[in-house]
Amino acid sequence: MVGRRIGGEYILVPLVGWGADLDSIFNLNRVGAFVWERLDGGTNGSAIVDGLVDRFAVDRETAEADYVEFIEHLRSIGAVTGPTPL
Amino acid sequence: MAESKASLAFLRDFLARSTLPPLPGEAPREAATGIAVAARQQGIAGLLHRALDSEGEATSPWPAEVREALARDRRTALARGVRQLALAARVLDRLDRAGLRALPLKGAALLETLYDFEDERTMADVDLLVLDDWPQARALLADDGFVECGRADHAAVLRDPETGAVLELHHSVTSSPGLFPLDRDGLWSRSVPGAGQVPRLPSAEDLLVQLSLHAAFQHGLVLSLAQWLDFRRLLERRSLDPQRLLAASAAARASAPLAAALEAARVVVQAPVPGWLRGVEARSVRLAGRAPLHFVTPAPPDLARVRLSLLRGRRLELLRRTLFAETPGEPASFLHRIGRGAARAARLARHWGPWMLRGALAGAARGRPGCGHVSGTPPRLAQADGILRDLFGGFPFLRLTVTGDCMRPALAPGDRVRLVSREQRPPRVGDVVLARHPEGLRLHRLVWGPPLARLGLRWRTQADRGAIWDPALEPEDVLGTAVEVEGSPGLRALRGRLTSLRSLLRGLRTWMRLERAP
Repeated sequence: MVGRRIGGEYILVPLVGWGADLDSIFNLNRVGAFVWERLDGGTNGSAIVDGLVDRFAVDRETAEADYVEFIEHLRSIGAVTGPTPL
Repeated sequence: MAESKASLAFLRDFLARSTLPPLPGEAPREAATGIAVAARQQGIAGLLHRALDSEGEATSPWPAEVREALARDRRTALARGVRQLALAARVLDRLDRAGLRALPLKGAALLETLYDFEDERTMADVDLLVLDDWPQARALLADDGFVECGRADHAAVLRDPETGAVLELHHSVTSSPGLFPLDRDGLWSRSVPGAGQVPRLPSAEDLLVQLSLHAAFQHGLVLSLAQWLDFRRLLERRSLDPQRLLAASAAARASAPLAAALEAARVVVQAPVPGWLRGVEARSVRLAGRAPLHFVTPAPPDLARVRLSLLRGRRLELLRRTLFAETPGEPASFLHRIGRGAARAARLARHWGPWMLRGALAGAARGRPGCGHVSGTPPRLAQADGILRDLFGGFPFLRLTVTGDCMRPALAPGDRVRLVSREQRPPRVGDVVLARHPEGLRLHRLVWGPPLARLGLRWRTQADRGAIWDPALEPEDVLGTAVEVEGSPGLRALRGRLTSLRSLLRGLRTWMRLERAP
């Protein structure tokens, strides 16, 4: 799965070999794109939630809940693996 | 976002001057986005990003998101280029161990010597020229799991089982083999050691002749900017021996293509053609007065006219070698050759269509919408040309699943189709194309297309099981060309020998029926 910012859109594109699979492209909103771009295997979930609180003027509890829900959704489509990093 | 002329002009200027021109004063953000998209389509996004990098970020008028997108393209191009070169090296080694001589062509022969980094120029595929037993080389790679997914009269298109990368295995540099003779032993004896992964490369003189044949004869002098840049880099970075070049071009009967391609390269990217090379062939294609962008994709090539101009005095030979091309390993009996000639004549239908229909098709858009819906493309995406065009530019192929049975038996519901961009594989009559229709995206067959479109006719698609044409299309409505269907045991090509002719006849039959309808 790779993320691409195209114009004003941020989309997740599943890879198939060297190509892209158009059957299941996902469109991320600003918050989703913010989180996706920080899922680099090195940044922990807590730091990402901190970033959400700073960037989007949301309280930490809501940010955490949204973050976990988003990660679970990404996991359900195979975009991330492993435990929820929080 | 489509490549605009302004974006292409900017990029041409960039290559010709070797420095970044200023962004237009009005709407620089939109201009930068358009230029980035065009750079990707033209195979030079990495080169553009390197230039932006050297310019510095602090004072740059280029928006951060455009720079980021170009940086991603550059990383992708680097990984892809390295893997493509690794594939070339692996196959060359495999053939060498079997005692078969082969050399890289085009990008695979240029990337490591003419460019500083593999991300500066992208390759659609890897081209190798087999100098010895081509059928044996093909069989060897088939044994290794390579899947043949296409054939031309000068090459087989193979897919690497390990990476999915595309390899073109040539037995001739151009189509119509024999028209430009190959001195196989000479090519090998003049070849030189490579500087990276690819072990041997053609000599600089042979490379220039091959690039010229490819540009002039194969593509009618219309190439991507990356391919024109190859000429400039070759002339700048490799020293050419005049005697050897003239001898190589004379032996290949390629003086006219060489002169035409060099002149076009000079016009497009200011390739520094040495004085001794100018006028090497006075009797070449007339290029005077043509604007530089006429030589750059997606400009439509006037292939027939260019070929006829290049081969004055040899036109019967062109016809003979085109219709009765000999493929190594195929039966060469009279009947077989006649059969293959008929099939090739059918393919020529796309270049020499029925001119008598000129102007008669305009009123034929009475069709109901086609039924070849494409799944997995939500309505919003179906309208989002920019996204699809970007994806076509960023990936070697796109895959999608077909619904509806209007394309049976070629495509059945659930078939997974691989598509490539229209730049990578220009659509032609008989191709199944992904096109934008008022109701959304459709995968239908092109039954009327270039070069007739240049006569003022509009492109037409039709479902294989449809009774009538789809509404008329503009060329830019066709987003990609379907090339393969995934399945068991592997990939299968979507075109057969008579596809062009059959499609053309179906289109004509539909038109005649519509004309007779009350």
